[in-house]
Amino acid sequence: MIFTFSMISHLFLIPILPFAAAFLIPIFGRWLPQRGAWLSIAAVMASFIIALDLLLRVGDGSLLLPHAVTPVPWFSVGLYEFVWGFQLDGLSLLMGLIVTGVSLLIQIYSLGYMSDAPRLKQYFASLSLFTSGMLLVVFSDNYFQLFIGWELMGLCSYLLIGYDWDREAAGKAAVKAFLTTRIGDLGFYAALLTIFIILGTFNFVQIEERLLDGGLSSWAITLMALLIFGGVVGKSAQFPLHVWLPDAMEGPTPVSALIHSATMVAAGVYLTARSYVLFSGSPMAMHIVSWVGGGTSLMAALFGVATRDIKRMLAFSTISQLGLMLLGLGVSGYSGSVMHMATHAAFKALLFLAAGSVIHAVHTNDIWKMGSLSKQMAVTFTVFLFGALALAAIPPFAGFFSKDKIIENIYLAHQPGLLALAYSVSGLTAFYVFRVIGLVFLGQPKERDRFAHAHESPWVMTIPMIILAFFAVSFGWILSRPSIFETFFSAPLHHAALEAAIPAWVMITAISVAVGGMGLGLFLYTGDLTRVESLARVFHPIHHFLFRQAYLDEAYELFLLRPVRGLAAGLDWFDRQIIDRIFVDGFKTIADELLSRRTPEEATASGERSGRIQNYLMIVTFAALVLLFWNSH
Amino acid sequence: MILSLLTFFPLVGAGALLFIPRSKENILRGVTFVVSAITCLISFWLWTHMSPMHNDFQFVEKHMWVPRFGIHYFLGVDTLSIWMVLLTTLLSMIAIISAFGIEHRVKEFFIFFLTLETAMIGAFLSLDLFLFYVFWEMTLIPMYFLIGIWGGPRKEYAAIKFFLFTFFGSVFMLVALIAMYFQNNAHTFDFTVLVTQAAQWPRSFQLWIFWGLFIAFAVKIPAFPLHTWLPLAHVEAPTPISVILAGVLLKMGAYGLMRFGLTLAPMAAREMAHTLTVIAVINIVYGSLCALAQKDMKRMIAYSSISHMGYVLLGIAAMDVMGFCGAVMQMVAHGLITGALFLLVGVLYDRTHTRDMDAFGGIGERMPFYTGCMLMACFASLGLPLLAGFLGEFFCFLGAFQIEAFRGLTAVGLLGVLFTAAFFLLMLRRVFFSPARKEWTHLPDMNAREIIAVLPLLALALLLGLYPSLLLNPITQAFNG
Amino acid sequence: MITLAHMLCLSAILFSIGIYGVLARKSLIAILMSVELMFNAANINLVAFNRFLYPDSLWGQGLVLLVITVAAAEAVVGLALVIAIYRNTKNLNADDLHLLHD
Repeated sequence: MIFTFSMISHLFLIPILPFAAAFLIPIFGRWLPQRGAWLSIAAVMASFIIALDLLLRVGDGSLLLPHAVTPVPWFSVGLYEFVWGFQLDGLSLLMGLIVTGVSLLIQIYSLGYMSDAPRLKQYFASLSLFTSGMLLVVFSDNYFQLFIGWELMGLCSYLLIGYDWDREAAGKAAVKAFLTTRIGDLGFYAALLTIFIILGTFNFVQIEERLLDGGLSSWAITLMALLIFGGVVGKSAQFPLHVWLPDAMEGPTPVSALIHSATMVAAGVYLTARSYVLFSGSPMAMHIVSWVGGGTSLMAALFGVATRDIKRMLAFSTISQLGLMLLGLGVSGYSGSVMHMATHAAFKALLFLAAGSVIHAVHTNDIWKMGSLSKQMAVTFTVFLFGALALAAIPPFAGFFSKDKIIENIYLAHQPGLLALAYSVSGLTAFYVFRVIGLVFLGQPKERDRFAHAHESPWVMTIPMIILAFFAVSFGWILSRPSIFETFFSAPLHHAALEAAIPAWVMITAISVAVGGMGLGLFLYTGDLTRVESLARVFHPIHHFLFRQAYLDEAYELFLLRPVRGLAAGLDWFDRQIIDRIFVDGFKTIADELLSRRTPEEATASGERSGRIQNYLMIVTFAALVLLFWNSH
Repeated sequence: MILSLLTFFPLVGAGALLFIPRSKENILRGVTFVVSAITCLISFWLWTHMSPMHNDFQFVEKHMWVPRFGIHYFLGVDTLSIWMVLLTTLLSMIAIISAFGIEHRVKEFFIFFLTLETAMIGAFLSLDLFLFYVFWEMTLIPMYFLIGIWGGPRKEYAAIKFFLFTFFGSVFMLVALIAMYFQNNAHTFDFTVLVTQAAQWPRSFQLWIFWGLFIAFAVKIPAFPLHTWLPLAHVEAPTPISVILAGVLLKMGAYGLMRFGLTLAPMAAREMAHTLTVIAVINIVYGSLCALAQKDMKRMIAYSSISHMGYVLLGIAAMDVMGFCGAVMQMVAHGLITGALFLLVGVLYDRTHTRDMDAFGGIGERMPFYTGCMLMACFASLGLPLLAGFLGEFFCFLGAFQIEAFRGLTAVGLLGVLFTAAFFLLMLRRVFFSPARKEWTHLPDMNAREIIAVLPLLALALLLGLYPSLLLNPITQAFNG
Repeated sequence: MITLAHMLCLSAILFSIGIYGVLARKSLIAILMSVELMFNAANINLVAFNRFLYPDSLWGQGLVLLVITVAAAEAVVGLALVIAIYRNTKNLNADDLHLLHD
């Protein structure tokens, strides 16, 4: 290997390099090439190479997982010492590779996509900071540190979604994203407090030991698990905190690719996987996780069917796939969900980048304004197709292996309701993604001018897409190789029950549902659209309801935002008028009332408020005499 | 010797200023800056020379002052006071830099300011209750003039309200002090003596003492419902005074509570802890909600101060190591961060003479460096990890959470975190990250003076966020010992 | 024989004259003189108590010295204010000075 000295201590560097870049770029960016973009790319590339080196060393056996690095003391409060601790195990190594790899590809892609954008320093600095935050989440060995990375990502997603702040929609979307995830984060914050009180430590390994020792009430475990799940619901955009993700598409497409598909939202799933031992201790929590995940998955898939914006379709599909992953974790299907998290990262990022390529070419997001782009943008079409096949879980593409694993896990958990849910979602997924392919790439162009001007994207954008496409095709197969599978996907708790045999119909149903959805989507939306139009008339009310995302945004506005704003205004009024008046003017009014009921003018004339000292002194003397004689009685 | 030097050097500086003709404004500014810088250096020297192993008061100076009443001139510093003093001297220096922009009656301004600085430092260093009271009251008069002469449209009203409110509270403290004087055997105001006797005082007496002290501190902190003077005072005060008010004066209340309130009436404090927690949570949630409803940026930040001091009160009410660490950390962090926020709002106000959020838009485009600073300050204030504010908040919550009875309340307090994020982000969007308005096309970015004033605060906020041991280790040791 | 009662009476009379002067005279300087009269009444009281009740102690007379000093200082301040008022308004009539009026 190129590096001869021990690379383990360099585990620290993986999150630190992009973090350093994030600070250097705004300060020195003016003098750096491409406004600091290359520095950002270099930092991420270095992190990726280190992660790769670690992988190779695991591969040839010189490094054993799990491996913990000696923690660096940070500070201590009371008797507890907080440390910077890093750990390396299958889950974190896998995520580390994915995060650095995808981030690298997306930053290269951004060089092309964002070439004419202003404030590039801010853009690349935020991307670097975001990457370092996610890496901090992934490599931390304790909840407190994870929370730090978690919040850093929140900051960066705020900065990046609202990047194009000249558009009011972008600014609002950024605030919405931050505040909605903040609600979830309150749960996580409370979880941190609760975990510390009940378990006395933030460290994962110590927590697992204490949980396995037993003796904790199931109520306590459920509480901790559900509070953590609150943070997950926020970050991974599950119901009811999913509303920020569709709006977050206001950000530049590479940002959507990185943050909202491949990495940040997956942090919620990562957190659940990391807390697997905790969750497993509470059947109720697992139940809630699987049903929230499953329900969200179905809801989002339905929304995806009705949308007309290519990025929103992808956003809904992200929510839906994340729901599936949580569903899998909820039924003790650790391996399937983690694998799906990995494959999803690859093909979703690919789909977003390809969508960005399309948007860059036709300058619109609306799928009803595109059409027949496969002729003008062959590369983009091909990679998008591969991504779609992976998303729809058609064998042998990547998504098939992982989604099938999840379905197997659901079957083994004997949950027919959830199984049916999963199949429905699969079908819908294939349907809506191929609906979009039909409308965008195939058939006839809906607007001649746009079609004429569309052209393929420059190499700096297509090369990352092609690399990702390679993974969309092969990643599933690669990850299923037994040795790799065992390294990365073995669950922390071994469930003997999961060794049972799976009947063939499970997989066959999954494939047929996917193929069926794909077929239906292509059939309805390619070529002659009159079939669709007649169907649309029939289904219009339902379609409209789904198009408006079940009016959930409006519901939030009405039942949450308005009351809060009203409450704030009310309290402000209360503060100004009542409390202030009581304490300040109150004394004055009481004094006035008690002493006289006369107007200022009358009072002046009678000598009480004349402004003349002697009059005042007369009152004082009189009062003093009264007091004197009163007291002496 | 060093403590007296530290305390009275600014006053001596004020005396020196008297001799400088009022027309020589630059000399006045220069001398004031030098005086405050030297004071800051002295406090820094003191910090580096404090022995970490010592749990008691260091650099003690004790001289008999009025023997008949057992009043001593008694100064001493420990880990808690040193941070307050550091904060005071640093913020004073920065406020003075920021005050270079004042054009009207410069000489009086700086004389009052240096007098104020002496009073603040003295309050943090005194260990004799009478002396503490003297310094406490001594802050009122310069503040009254500073707000009343150099303030905004309603400055006289704000100044009088501030003065009367604080004075009203102080009267209760005076009664408590006198009561303690008569109660204790030695008939003294010496804090170290009183502390040893405090535990034996009867419960009802302790309750009266506690409430007497607490009312005074509650006005300063400011705790609900005695907080209404703060928004007005902040809005009407000139920028440097807002910085000092938020950064230091509010801390005097919290410091007083920690140093005197809890120690001189321990039984009462423990009984009242629940009430304190309730008040703290009200501060947190009520303060942040009211901030959400504001249109004036300074008033919004004033309410956010009320909210943040609620965290401090929560940490103090918890009365355990974590709570105290959190409270002190939050006190320092809030002083730095809110000081920076007020300076930044002042930057905009100096250029546009309005603070109404609705009047702005698109400032991010015109003033990128300023936006960056404001972004950092806002996120520090709402508790982003790796900046100082987060650790303070977190440990206040953790400290309070450890007490079973307070858990529900503390959980409600978490809402404050959400609402704080809401109003800061909404402010950022309305003022900075929105389509630009044509009135503001030619706003210049921050000039050197403004940058020099703000950057140290932000840098320290980052430093303390990354390396909190500077602050926490000594405090932890002090409480463990 | 002069007894305590005589002294107290004297001081009471002087004090009352002083109060009357403060409350009823129009001229500022007259008011100041009346205040001085009140001080001296109090001084007489102090000396009387010292002489008749605690002959061995010197506290009363000591306090009288303090009061005289403080009265002198206060007279200085008062006169300075009177001069300032005169300079500004050329009028020393107490009835015409009502700037404290709301």
